[in-house]
Amino acid sequence: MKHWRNFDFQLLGIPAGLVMFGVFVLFAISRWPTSGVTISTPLHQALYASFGLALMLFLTNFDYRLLRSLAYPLFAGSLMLLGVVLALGHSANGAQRWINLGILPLQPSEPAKLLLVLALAKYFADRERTIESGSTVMLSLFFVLIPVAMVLAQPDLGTSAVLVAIWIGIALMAGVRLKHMAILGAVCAAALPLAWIGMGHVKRFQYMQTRLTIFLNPQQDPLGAGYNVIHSQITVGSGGFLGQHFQQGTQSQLGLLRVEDKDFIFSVIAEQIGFVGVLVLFAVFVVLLMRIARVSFMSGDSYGRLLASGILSMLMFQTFVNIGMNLGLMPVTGIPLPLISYGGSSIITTLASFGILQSILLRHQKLVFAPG
Amino acid sequence: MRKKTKFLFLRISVILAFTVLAGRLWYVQVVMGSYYKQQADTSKIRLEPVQALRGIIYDQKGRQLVWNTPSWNVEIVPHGIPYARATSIYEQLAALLHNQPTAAEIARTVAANRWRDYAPALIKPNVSADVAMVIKQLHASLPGVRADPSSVRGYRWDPQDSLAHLLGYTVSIGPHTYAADRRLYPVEQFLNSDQVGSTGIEAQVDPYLHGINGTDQVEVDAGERPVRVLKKGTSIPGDNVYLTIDWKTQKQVAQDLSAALAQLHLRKGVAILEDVHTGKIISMVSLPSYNNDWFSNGISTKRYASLLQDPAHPLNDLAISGQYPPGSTFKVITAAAALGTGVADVNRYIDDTGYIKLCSVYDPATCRIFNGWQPGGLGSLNIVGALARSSDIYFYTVAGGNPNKDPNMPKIGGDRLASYARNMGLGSATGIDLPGEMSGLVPSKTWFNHLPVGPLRNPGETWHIGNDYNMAIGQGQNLATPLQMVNVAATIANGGTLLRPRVVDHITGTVIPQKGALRSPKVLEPFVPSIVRRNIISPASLALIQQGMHMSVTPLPYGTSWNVVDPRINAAGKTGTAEDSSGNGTPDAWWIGYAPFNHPQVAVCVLVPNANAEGAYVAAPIAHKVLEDYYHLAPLKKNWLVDVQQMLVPSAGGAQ
Repeated sequence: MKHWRNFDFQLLGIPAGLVMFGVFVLFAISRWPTSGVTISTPLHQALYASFGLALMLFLTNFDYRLLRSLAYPLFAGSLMLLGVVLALGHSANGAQRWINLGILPLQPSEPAKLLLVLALAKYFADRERTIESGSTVMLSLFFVLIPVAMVLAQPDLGTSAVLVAIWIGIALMAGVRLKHMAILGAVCAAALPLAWIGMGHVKRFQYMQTRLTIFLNPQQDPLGAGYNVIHSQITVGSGGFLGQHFQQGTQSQLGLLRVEDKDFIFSVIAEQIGFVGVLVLFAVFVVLLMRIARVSFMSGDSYGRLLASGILSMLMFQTFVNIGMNLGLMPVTGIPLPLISYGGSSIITTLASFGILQSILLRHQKLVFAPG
Repeated sequence: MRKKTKFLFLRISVILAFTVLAGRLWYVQVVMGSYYKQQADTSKIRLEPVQALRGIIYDQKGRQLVWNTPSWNVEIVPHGIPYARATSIYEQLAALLHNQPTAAEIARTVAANRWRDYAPALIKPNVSADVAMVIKQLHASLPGVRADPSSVRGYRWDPQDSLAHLLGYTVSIGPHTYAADRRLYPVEQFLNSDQVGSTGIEAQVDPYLHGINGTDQVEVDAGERPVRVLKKGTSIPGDNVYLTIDWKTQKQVAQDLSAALAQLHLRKGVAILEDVHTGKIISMVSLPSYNNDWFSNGISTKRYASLLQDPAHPLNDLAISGQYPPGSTFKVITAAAALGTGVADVNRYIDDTGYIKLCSVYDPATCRIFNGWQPGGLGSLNIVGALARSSDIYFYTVAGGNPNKDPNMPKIGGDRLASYARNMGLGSATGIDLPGEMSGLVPSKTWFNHLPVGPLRNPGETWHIGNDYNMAIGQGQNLATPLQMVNVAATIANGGTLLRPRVVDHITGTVIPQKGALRSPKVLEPFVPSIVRRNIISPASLALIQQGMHMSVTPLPYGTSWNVVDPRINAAGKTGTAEDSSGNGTPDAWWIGYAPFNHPQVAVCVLVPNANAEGAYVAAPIAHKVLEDYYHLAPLKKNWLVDVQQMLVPSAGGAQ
């Protein structure tokens, strides 16, 4: 049964508001002559967002339980797309991440995140009884390791981390034993030094190593690899308590910051709206994430519950890592700020996930008694 | 964990994550805010662009034709100019530069560059080392002003400036164009002090010549002057371009053409040599010319105005953009059409009586006389003789018939003749790799009858037999460029293949335009002959036309090209004398041909516009000398210039 009165207007209004704010910021950036961003960027973003909203409404109306049976084929499809990127995707910023579809350069790793949520949720929902067994946990790792390997080969460290975060979020909510999680964590920690050495030897992975060492000491190459780390902090810092209110001559307008429409859009925002403004933005994000947690809590079945928690961990991890890297807390990994950074694949995927959340909400009550 | 605990955990982790972020934000924006703000204002590390050296242009034999000469640019970094002192700085600088530019102009340039506050804006290119040193010493009183090393183009020079049109020249983009045209000159690829090709080869292959600029990491002082280089960025020099031109031949041809023009008291002339098998242009001279160093050194307005106002228009490359009626040289095309359509064969003889008199069928008293160039007539001729002796009567008759003798006489007609001319490459640009080529004009019956009434067509006028006649001898509305005509000669010489003429032989280097750079240099654009059309004329027809052109190069009093007779060269060719179709100029003298007759190698075209003289007297001896230059032969006659004569063209009648 579908009940439209359970529709959550906050889950529509907040994402839409954030998208509009992002388009406004992109428009402001495009007006600065120093930036490489042109007017077509906000226009494209608005176009992608309207497509994303349409998909969101479609998915709202679409019974999420049907997604359960579609989850594996969709996930297989996303793996194929990742394979295509590896085979013929073309290079942007030193990484192969795109398939050119004409109007929309598709970045398959974006939908892959959401499709991993669908598949993992199904996997764990199907195995509620055996969740405490080690083999269930081991098998679930395949879902995440295959796309992680393909995304790492692009090479894209950030997205791989998001995929792992999704797994952790869903696994914890599904009730995997903490002992198993601890063992896996220990294995990963033990493998790190090996991975580090391996990275240094394979050319396409060296950039990751550079980014991680630069994170620890950006002054090592202030105008090369450490450039964005230093300049994003200078940009955020010069916003001060109240911000610069999109006036002339600010740090972000000097053209010193790079990828200011994607990875580092937060720095631009922070400089312009200042500490107070960013706190408001944080509050909006917290409310939004809480609403998603509420969906997980309300869900009538375990599939819906795991879907919502997967989406929650996906969005929370991305938001945290993106803002963290703008503030010098996290290494630069090329993760977009959900709903605000420029990028068609990212915004469409994010808006689609809100559609799924609404679908869960609309169907969480099995029976409703007519009032009176 | 129970369900409720899990959700508590979820909520707490959201709050925790944002608390961490907010804490860090507090530190960066509030605690360290003033520190970062100061860093933003006083950050003295800049990314300094390093100009890539432009590629070099060589001739066919690898002789260097252009140089990059070190020079000094005066530049201003707008950010370094203290607001309060701006006016006095501009005035002081303008005084140093002798008011070129003035203080007001400097202020405008700086304003135009405000959008890139930290990037140097070009104020004056190519100042002397003395001025540069003074500016360097005055750094305390001239903050923001810099003298930076750069380079300007220097071009190989000869007294006739014979390479100017081919090579073209470069100009600095300058902050104004740079700011205005960000699409054409993206900041990632171009600096406002970059030189870009404006005409000629410099413009044609600019993306190859330009190279890839690099970036140095530089520490600057408070006046935005570099103090020391922290990290050297690499710039990648542009590709080298090898031309098909042979510089020695080019220089010699220009010298001879210039001497002949001096003899005639004329200034305009064109001479082209083309390899008949490949379409490579060996030499292409258009006079008068100009010195391209004037432009690369920043041409003065006065000198530029005088170039523009010169009635001989030295900036125009007549070889590719001069459009003239081809006159009798067009008869080779009429001959091809006559043979191709079956209107004539080797056995058809036409009696050249010196004129054709056409009378109206309705009113036999209304007659018009079409003269040949020889008042007494040349006698009975077949196609070979008609070409050799340049019989106007013969070509009038095959093109338009002679209704007074026989109304049903076969004729080519204006439309068929036009399609042969177009097949030979007239009426459209040849596609040479140079900017500014013109396409000429091939009239036709259909085209004419659809023309709006105007300067070319009177009210009620339709294409008539007189138009056929005029077209047959390259008069009327016919217009061709010298390049098109040399290509016609090459097509006849090589057996009927129309080639696209080319001046770039190959390009070598590492820079691939719009793509990036290779690790090691290689040939990027190898020359491949480019065929426009094959088998334009049947071998049998071609043999007759070649024979006619060969017979033209026979001693007086037979062929019209007696001035080219030279057994060492054994040329074939065709003279042309074209009356200016606009009616306000004197006739143009043409010669087209090729050599040697048996195994053709090189096609020639010589044009002396408004020579007021026969092609046979003016263009043919120059063509002979040009061929001697090509083969590096000693002059056949000690004083060849005596052959160049201004035999005034009679006011009425056809042409040789």
